[in-house]
Amino acid sequence: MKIVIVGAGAVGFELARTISRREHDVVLIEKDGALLDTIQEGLDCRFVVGNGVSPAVLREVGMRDTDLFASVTNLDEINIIACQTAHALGAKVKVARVRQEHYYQDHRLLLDGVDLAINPDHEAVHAIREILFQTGATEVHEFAGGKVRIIGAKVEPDSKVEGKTLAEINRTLGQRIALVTTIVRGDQTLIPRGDTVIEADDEVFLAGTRRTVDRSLIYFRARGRRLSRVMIVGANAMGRELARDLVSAGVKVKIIDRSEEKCRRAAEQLRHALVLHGEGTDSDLLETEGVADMDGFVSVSSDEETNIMACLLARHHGAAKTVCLVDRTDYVPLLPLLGVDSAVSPRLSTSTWISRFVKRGAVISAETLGYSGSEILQLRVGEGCPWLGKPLSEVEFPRDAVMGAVLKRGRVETPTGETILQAGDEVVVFALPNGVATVEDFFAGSES
Amino acid sequence: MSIRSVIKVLSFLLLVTAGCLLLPAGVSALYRESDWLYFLAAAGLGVLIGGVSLLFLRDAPDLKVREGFAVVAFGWLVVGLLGAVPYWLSGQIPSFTDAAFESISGFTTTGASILDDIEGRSHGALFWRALTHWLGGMGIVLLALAILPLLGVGGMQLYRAEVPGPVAERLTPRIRETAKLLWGVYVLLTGLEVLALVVAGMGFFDAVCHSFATMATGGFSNHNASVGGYASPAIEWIIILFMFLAGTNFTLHFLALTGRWWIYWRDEEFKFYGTIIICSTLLIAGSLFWIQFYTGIGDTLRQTLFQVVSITTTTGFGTADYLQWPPVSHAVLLILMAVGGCAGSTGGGIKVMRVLILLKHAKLELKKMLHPRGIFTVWFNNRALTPGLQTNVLGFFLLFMMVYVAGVLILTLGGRDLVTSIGATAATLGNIGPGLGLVGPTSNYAVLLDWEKWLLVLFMLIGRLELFTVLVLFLPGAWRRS
Repeated sequence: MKIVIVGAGAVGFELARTISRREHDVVLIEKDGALLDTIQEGLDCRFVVGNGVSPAVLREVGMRDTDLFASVTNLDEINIIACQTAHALGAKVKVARVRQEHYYQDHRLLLDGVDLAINPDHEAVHAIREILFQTGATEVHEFAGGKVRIIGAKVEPDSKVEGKTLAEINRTLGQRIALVTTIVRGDQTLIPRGDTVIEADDEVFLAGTRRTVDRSLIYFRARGRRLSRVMIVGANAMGRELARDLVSAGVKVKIIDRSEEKCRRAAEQLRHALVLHGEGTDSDLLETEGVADMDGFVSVSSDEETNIMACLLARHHGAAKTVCLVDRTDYVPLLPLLGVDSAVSPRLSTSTWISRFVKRGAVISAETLGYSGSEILQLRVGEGCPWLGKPLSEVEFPRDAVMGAVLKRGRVETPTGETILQAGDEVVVFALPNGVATVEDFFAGSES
Repeated sequence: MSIRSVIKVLSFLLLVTAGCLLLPAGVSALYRESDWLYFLAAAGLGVLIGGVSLLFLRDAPDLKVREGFAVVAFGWLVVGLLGAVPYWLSGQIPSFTDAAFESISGFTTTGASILDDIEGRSHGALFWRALTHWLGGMGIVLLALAILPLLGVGGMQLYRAEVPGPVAERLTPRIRETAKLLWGVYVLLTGLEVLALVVAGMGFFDAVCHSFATMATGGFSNHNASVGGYASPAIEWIIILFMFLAGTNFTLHFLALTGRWWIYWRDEEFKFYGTIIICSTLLIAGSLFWIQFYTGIGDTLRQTLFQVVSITTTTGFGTADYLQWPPVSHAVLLILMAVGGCAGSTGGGIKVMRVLILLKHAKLELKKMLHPRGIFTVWFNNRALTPGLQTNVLGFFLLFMMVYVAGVLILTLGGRDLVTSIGATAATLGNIGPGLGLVGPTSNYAVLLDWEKWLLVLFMLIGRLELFTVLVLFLPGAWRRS
């Protein structure tokens, strides 16, 4: 597959990195030659210095045989025009990163040439919302149009499952609890066995139907808590959209920004939210505005360090759950150690989104799990797999992977030893970084 | 400022008024009264002045915003003065000051009268009184909904703020369309009221006059005892209803007539307007009931509701002498005089919407004490008001109060007693009509001195034209050549 990426910023870099690892032909176009030089070493792809909008540059790269064209620069207009040029020159699938709402809302205008407009902020707001409402959840992923849901949950001290082995949990709770597929302990990711003990502060990943997964969460929490108060730092487009979402769901929202002008704009858009002018890291302000009573504290300002500090302060003063916007991959592993509950990264998730368009044999879609490099894969069982027709207990499954859910003709099932897979069934599989390739081969059958 | 183009437009207005003067002449002739001649003479005077100056000013440049203020302010004055001529010529009102007071009170839909004996006037004069109201009301609909927003004045700019800034050349068709639609509503409601009053037993002539006075929230009646003279609860209920409708934003009526009848319950101003009327009525009725002023509870409620609606819509009809009521009712009515009707209605006063915004603003100031770092905005009908509009409302209130206080000060300086001074200022500035003290509902303004009458005429104009329009003319900058 030939993939052309315009823009070597954080999104473009991450996208190129993910895709090029999978033996695809990647071309990265960037107009800033100096930037290309600095990132060249880490990537195995072709680099072109030039303007991604220019037909000359695109012709030279070759559009007729391009399967995926992704324009992910910082400028919406550039991305849209680049896609239109690529369209005119014959590229197959065109994806644009479009952040400004007014472009995003009117799809018909963009349709000419752009197959998909991705708004990373919008995706991030959706993710934060899901995390906040699932008070126990740290991550939420959906597959097969929402039929299969995967949630990361923090195990709280004194919760029902703490200190028990998976076998014990299965015995006592049986069908009422969703399948525990993976456990993240510190910086380790484990595939659990029957004798694995669940410890406090583990992050467990549950898979199953939306209903079972959402209901299972109570076993991992010490006590339930309804989301009724949320404080947001950053009155930018994301913060405002999140506030609007939460307010319409009946949540009391306080939103803080250091820019008075942004505050004013927020106050003119958000009737029922309290807009405060000040620093998100101002301890006094946070305290007087009752950060201790907050069920959620979200920091989405453009400054990542501020976001992290604000979340730490909020945690220190007693906010129940902190969500932080961080786009720097190197910060992400630190966050759980520091005590930030969840991190959301619009740029990284944009690259995840776009990489879904890259065809990978049996893989229908894939998401990266908690930045550990582990992946959740949705795969179709290919024709001619040698193990077809045998119950799973008799099949030697790849070691660094675990099956989370099976979709047979659109129905979600929990895989057990007796499950027999047929060609055409779909499965959701967790794979550690070094297990990904094995899993893909395992399900590909004769198709690859 | 181009004085030539101002005079050109004023001349047009004179010609229109002259045309309208033919109507009372016709009525007068119909009733075989002798004063049709004077109406014709006044019309002739209007045609003469207007026509001659138009001849000289044919090529005057078109109006710009700055001239707009002068046209609006002087338009009302010039038309009012021409309207006074027939009263004066015919001897129905011998003093010219009194005639001008009566005429401008009519055109500004104030309804303050200097006539001791109304019933003794000719049909022509009575009809002209009512017609000045009705024409004034039409002018206000046009003024409030189309012209003032362009000048950046008036309550309706709050409703219209979402319309992109006006471009001078394109305005005319829009004003014309808006005005036509709303005049349609105005004429329709007037027609309905005439019909309802005739059915309820009022004579056709009186029904027309009272409908004109109601829809314009004017208040001239053909009886010395005002509407109370008919002693008919049915008539009173009909007039209560139509006064209420006339005090409502006409845009709402228009939207409701085009099928969006629920629009009333979506409008914050309308809801607040209703709340004010209900609360004031309950308060006053309670105080009346306590002292057993009226015998029945039905009578108490109807009498109270009539005066409350009449005062708050700034109509000024009366069925009872509220000066006999307990003091608390005077206080409530005095507040209602200042509040007035809704923006975009024919009512005067500060306007319900501005009061509502002021209250919201006050609430935000309190909230600011709790959250010193909070950034707050006033919301009205689900829209955030721009800081400019908020200060505009605050400025309006401040100016209103200053003019009010100045008026009371000047009148008392001349030796008038305090209650009468307060009542007369409130009643003319708010375009209501009956005030307190010597100018209460059963008496009239005839007792005042000539200079006091002219001062009150000025207040009527200032109040009618939403303060800024008139007061801006006192700034020297308004007269400089741009």
